[in-house]
Amino acid sequence: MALIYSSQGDVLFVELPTRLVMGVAPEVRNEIKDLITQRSARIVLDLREVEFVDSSGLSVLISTLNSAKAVGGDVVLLGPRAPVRSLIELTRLHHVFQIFDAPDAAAAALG
Amino acid sequence: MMEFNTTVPRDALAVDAAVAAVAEFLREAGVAEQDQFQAGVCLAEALNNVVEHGSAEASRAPMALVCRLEPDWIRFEIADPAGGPYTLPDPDAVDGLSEGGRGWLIIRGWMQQVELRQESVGTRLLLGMRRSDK
Repeated sequence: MALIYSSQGDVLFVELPTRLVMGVAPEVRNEIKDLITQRSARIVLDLREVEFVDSSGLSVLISTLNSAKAVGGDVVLLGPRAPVRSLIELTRLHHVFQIFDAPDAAAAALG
Repeated sequence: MMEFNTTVPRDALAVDAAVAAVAEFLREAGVAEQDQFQAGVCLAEALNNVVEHGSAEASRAPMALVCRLEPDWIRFEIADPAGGPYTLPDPDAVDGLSEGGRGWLIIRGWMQQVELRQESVGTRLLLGMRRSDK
């Protein structure tokens, strides 16, 4: 799986797949770790196209945050759809991540 | 009542295919999007738990899945012929930055019925969610 990503200054936007589930989570986690190492640890995880996510998918979010913070970076979330947001809130991750609806606001939070 | 039956091989991609098939069944039956999502996530967690924690010698035995759509409820029945005796984990035993352990937190949060039965052969997990659109 080749993740799609783009840069805005020093901030990296990473588009997460439509189904972020156990079958793809290890690969996505590893690709993002490589991006943190090679490009930037200031990450916007773009959830706008994510339709379905399970707890393995949520673990990718946490893993990314832990990896980024380990090298002085940070992670915010962009645009989860209502069902995905409800899962984030059920699992209390809205207390862990800042969540934004607009890309510019997400990037500014990491600036 | 409408019913969807299938068997699910013990691998993560097969679980995702089964979850997607159930979601399509629920969508075609007119179940609300949020209910489809919640039921699908809980089903994925339950099936993934078997894939992750099943015994190696049982790796070829598929799970049997039934989804029953009732007027007020969505119910799942997952029969695991290789399921050993175990108890349901504590969903509160997870902290904010730990990467795992949220599966049962999700199931306990969204399912009103969670029941694990030890059968003469294997286990049977019963999940039930009250529909929000009814």
